Amino acid sequence: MKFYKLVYREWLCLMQSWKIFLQSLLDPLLTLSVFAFAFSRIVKSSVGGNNYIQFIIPGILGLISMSNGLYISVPIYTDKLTGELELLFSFPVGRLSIIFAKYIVAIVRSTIGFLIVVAMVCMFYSSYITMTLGSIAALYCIHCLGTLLFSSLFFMLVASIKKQDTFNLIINLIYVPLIYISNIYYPIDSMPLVFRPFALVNPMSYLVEVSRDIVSHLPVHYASLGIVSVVFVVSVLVGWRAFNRMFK
Amino acid sequence: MVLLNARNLTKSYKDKKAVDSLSLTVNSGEILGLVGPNGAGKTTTIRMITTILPADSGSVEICGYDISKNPKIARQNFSLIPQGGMLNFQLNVFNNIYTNAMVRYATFREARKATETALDALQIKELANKYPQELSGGMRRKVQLARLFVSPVPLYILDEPTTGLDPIAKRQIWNTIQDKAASGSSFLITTQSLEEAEALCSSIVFIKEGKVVLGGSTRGILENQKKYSYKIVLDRAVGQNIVDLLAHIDTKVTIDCSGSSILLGGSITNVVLIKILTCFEQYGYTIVSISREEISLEDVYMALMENN
Repeated sequence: MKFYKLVYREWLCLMQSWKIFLQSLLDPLLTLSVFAFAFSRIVKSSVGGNNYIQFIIPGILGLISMSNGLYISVPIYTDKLTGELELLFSFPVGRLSIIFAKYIVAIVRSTIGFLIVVAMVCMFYSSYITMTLGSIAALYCIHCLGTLLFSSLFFMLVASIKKQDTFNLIINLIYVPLIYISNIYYPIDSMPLVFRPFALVNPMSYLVEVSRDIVSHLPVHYASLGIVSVVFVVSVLVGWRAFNRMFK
Repeated sequence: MVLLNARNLTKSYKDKKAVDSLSLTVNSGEILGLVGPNGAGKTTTIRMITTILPADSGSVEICGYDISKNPKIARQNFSLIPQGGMLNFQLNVFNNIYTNAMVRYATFREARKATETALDALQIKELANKYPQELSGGMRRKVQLARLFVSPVPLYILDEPTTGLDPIAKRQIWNTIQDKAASGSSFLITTQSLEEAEALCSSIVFIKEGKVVLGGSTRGILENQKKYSYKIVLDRAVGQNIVDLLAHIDTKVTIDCSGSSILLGGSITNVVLIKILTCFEQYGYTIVSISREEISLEDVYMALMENN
């Protein structure tokens, strides 16, 4: 019953600062402008069998998913340090509701980014990518799954790591490889051999691959979709266990 | 009416017992202070009571609801300021209070009204649009109290609410708590400050290494922990015959003589005291001075914590 109030609470946190809200709008705008507009001209040769814009759009959506997952999960760590989490735990609501409320706001924020990207694609890049309502809907579902995946992955880390310096170190160690040792900017096949195994254990690679299948109107790699779903479920379960033990 | 009834709470971290068979009760209208040094188990106790941390064993009932069986209903009956509790730095003062009110009231309108009332009651209405990082430590605590009191609950739980505040800010917080208690609310407060415990708490539980070492009403503790009540100084040393005589006046009174000083302990009524003084005069002693010996909570605390 109080769940929608928790969601509203999270929404207030998001909307309280217009700068934070603006960031959620600017992130996709800037990333898309820089990569689709500037880099597509530099990388004139086709990449991975597609044109670069068609190649990079799923990657940008993956980046939006990840940044929103990070944005919504990391404050849990700050909340633990400031006592805010203890306060939340003492509310007459279930702990699962606290996490779900955060997930929903992450999805709302991520949806804004998604809509901006789709709008820009339809306005400026329709000659490179054909978007149908069906493909937009499918892409949105994958985008939401991606947001949940990264929210859960970071949530798992936030809940498991006790020390702040360890937390900062691990976030930094993970964040960069998640982006650069994946197929966001370039196909895995074109990576140096030493990085390929890392790219293959990076869930971002599988998420982007599924989105790329949808954008390119190719048959979806269901194995990749399965891997993304399994990583999501496992990270939720591990994160949930760790979340309940945060004060132990 | 018993609002909080914690029985035999035990919690261990690895092989160390943080809380060991701790029991306490908070009655309606009571301010109970949980007093102990760093690491005594105060915060662990609060976390178990507030359902943040599960106890290894023991039980807690809040307003009759067992927290392990009905945690959500139990949580409807208390509001908490956690240890080192800050405010949500993403929200302004109004929304910091409002978001707490939202989960306690049925409608957003009621929550908004309660928030405005809380701001008024703590005289911080002008801070409504400010962010926590713009406030002094004392002001932040006031906002925390507003956030606490916006919840219409019978029991308020505060984990070290005045740590780090200057004396004026402390007294303002105490006054606010006392005003709220006067209107019938109950409190469980942890503190390391004996001054705070003495000023605020109607009852105190001293804990050491996770165990209750002493508990009771603040006044009762002070009375019972006194070794003696009066010190009388005479013009010359007292003979044993006088001591024997005094012992017959009231068998409940204990008498320690050291030269011309006499320490009277136990429960001494005015009648008994007058009889004793008259006895001295009858035997030709001049009373140089008579003083009532006072004991502070600090004396009690030091005795308890230093005693192994």
